[in-house]
Amino acid sequence: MDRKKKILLVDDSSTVLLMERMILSKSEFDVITAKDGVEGLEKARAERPDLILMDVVMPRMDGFEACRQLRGASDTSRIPIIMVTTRGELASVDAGYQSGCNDYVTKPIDGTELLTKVRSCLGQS
Amino acid sequence: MPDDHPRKAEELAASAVKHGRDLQEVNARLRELISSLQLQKGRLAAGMRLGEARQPAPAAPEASAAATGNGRAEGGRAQLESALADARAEAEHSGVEHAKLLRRLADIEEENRRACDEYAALQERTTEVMQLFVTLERLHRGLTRGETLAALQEIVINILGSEELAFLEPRDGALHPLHTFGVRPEALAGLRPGLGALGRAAQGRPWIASRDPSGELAPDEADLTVALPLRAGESVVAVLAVFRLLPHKPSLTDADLEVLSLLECHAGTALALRPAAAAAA
Repeated sequence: MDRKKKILLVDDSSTVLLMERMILSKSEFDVITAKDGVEGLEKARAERPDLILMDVVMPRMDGFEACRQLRGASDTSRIPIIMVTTRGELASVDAGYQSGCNDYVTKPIDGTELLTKVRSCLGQS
Repeated sequence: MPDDHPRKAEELAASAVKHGRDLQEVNARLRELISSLQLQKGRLAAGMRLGEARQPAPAAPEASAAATGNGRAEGGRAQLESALADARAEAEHSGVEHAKLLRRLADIEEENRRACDEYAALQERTTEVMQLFVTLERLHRGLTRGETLAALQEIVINILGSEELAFLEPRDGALHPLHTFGVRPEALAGLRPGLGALGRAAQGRPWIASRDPSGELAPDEADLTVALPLRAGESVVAVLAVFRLLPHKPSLTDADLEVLSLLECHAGTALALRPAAAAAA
């Protein structure tokens, strides 16, 4: 039996983490969480998740910078990253792609959209 | 029980997924079968063409007379004609089966589409139930009024989808900003109960722009989307003002209205109880 895919959720909002956790862990995924970009980097290195959901605006280190650092390190450079943002405008999306993310979803989170994009990034669609 | 809703919705969603996958498997098998039948039909048709090509042309009377004695040739011809008749019958049967299978395939594809639509609807409903659960969980987890206001702010930003909000407290004949995000508190000065949508909310009458677009607004309420009384029992302890929604969110959904309804009943109680809870702690 295949092991469950592990997803790292990085967000400083408990509301978003709870929502994402409910959507994903009720499906076929193991979920771990981090409260900001710095903790996100630490957990990504230690846990080697199969995918990361990364908020943009966070204390200590924002999502764009965390994404750049993950892409710059050999042990985390290939982990798919989906940015989670309240800003759906082109400039913000473009900044996300420039930092190395694979895809993005906007808040408020839509469960169907999130699951579709997660499965797509994991090659399960 | 509210806690059962996410589990039941998940069970329904899982059942719909399983149903959808089963249908997809049947669908795939039928496609293989049809493909195999088409191949077989093609071979039979080729055989028929070959058989017709091998039939001798009508013989001249002289040649026919010469061939009369050739029993082997006659037997071969009869055999070929029989095989040809069999092949034609089989091809006809295959054609009928093929048509039946195509009809069945169309039925299954339609059923598959329905299952997918049902799954999407269930997933949507599951998300809505999760939103309500998360709202309640966050609302009642805070131990202080500040934590509760922070939770309410997160709910408005991340569930309703607005980064312009204020909580106003009706006191001494005016509405005083308790907490704001994305709007200047000074812009809310001068509000009082009875004046505009926020003033009416302070008197217990909620206002939602999409439901009452012609409602009378105060001058500073042009960007207002929601004015919601937050009640503790019969009294309004605060008013939630939600201004512009996020640019990619065109309007409030039915699920958002359910969240607002829940906030109207529970947020005021949570705010009213928090000072006592903090003191008790």
